[in-house]
Amino acid sequence: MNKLFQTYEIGSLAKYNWRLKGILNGKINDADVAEAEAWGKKLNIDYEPLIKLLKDKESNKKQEIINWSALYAVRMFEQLGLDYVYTGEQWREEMYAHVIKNLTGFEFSGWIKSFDYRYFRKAAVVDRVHYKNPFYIDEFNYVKGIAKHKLKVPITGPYTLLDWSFNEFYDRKNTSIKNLKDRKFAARREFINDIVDEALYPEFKKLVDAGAKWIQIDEPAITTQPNKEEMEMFVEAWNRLVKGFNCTFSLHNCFSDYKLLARYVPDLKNCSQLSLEFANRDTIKPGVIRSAYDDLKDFEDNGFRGAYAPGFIAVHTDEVESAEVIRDRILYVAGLVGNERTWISPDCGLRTRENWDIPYSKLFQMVKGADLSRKAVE
Amino acid sequence: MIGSSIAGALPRPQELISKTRSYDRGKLTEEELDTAFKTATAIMVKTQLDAGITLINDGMLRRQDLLRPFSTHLKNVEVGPMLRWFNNNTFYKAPLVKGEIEWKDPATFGEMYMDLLPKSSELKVVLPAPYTFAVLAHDGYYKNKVKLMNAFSESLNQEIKELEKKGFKHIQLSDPAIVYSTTKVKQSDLKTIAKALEIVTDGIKAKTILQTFFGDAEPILNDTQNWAIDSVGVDLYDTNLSALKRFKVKALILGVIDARNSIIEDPIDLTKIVSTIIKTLETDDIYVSTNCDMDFLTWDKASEKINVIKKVVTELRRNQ
Repeated sequence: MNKLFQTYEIGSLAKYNWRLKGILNGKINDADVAEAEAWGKKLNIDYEPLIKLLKDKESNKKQEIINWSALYAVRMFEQLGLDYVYTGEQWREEMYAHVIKNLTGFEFSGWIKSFDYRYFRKAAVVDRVHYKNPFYIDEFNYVKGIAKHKLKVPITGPYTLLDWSFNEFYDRKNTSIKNLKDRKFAARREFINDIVDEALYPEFKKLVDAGAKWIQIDEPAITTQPNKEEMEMFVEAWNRLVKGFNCTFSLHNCFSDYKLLARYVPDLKNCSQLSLEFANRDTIKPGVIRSAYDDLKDFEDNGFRGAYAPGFIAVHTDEVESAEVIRDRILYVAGLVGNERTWISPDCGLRTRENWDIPYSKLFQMVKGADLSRKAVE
Repeated sequence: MIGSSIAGALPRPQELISKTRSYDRGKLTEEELDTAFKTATAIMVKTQLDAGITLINDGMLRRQDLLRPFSTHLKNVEVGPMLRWFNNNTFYKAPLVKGEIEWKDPATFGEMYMDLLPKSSELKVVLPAPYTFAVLAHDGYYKNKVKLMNAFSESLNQEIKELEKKGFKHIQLSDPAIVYSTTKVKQSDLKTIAKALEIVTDGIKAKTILQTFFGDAEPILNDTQNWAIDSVGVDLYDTNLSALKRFKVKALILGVIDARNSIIEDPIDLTKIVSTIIKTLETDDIYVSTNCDMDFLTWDKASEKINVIKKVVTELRRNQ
């Protein structure tokens, strides 16, 4: 029988100053070096070559620093006892820009208002999307060589890449459609098909050929356009992307409308698991009924028959959930969907926390909560 | 009459953005920030005047979100948690209603630079519509959407009366929630909207626009013809053109410039589309407009799009 309540993290961790400055040619100071030493010691890594590298003024060390950063993340997850690990997305600038910058057809805009005096950059697709440089395979090949635990590869999904971009090229291609609403939709459909066929599919092929067994498709943008046509477009893109691969696929979606999502996930082909965000919706208090997880029934009622990692630790608070609260959540979910279909993960990537101290503590409790749950049912 | 309008806020230019970020980091004084806003507002006004925009607004550069002036000025309303702004990757802070809403002082004056607005123009101010306010506010007092909507409408009415004294002749009530797929008004509740709009416009001489966006306006269009408003704005990237047939309200704001996409529309293409729409309408007054606020774009793109509005209007008037 497979191990019950297997654990993994969703994807991202914060980046330390030595990683950020190392890439941007910034001045690495003593505090940055001390941080690298402290975590190196804690994770039992022979960190001396890294310290030497950080103190070396010569350029051309960027990739080595990225490798070190990924190694630190992998070792942290392994030390914590997660069953599946990855790089904490230390290889990536950010989930959207990392992919877009490695494709042709996109131009980044200037700053756009996010809220108050905060801004972000958004890319516009100005020409047909084409694959330019590898964006996930090198990371996979590196981590494959260093990891002692099994791997789950998180990637950014096509619907999110579509929805977070301006659509110029495909809109212009569809000007023969005079109803603007229909034009917009036709342009979005053509755009997402090219993201799948021209960008993600070739990279998936490389990943699977290189031995990737589990790819997690991150789609934070789904349900932000809450209508049937857009949800069906997401499903079609998913099915187009995963077709023909001998690999396990799962969907991660958080801070979303799950009642809407639940109606469409049964149509996702080869989707073995949903990673969701329910800890954020639950109280941290012990000894209460964990009814925040009851919305999982919507997925069941709509016919989804895969596994669930519904999120057992919140990522937007420093408050560390106790192993007992996590155990109670796990057992409640197991009561809803069965032990075999309950997997253990956080709500989302933990890069929302400033450094690795809080993620370490939270994941430690999560793994302990999974152990307690196993003991409770075995 | 063929006019033109911008359905809300304009984007902050990159230079102003740099200044706001410096201010946020404590590297710029309040006075220096104010000067930067003034300089940028002058650009917003000049750009609209140069493009011959009929309904001029100040660009709303200082306003942090549509609802914020009312969270900070109305009695018993406070600034609440940050939430996603409908289906956009941008955010607003929800008003927290903690007691009976009361108008204290003008909410929108402090954020505008009145001396930069041309006295001779048709000045427009943008305010939240009562339904959108009631949907987005966190109501800890009325516990009833209609009561909250009506209470806010009373305050809005007082705000508009003050704005009229300042010379504003057009009041845009932005109402995304009324058409957005998950918040749209039920057909059975349309009468409550009519009542709220009567409260808002009671004793008002300024012309009022109910500006819908982010959703399909078709289900409410017929009713709007009987509401106490002078015109309706429609987002034509979410509403089928066929919905506009036989529309009779005094004026129609056609949201044909997509303010959520950076593409610069072809003026010839849009002129053809608007000409086709005009043929099906029973109203003579139309405004060529953006479909929503423009602050989803950079200022460079927005100013190019404003120029497209100018070209479309020029061409339409020539063909009249």
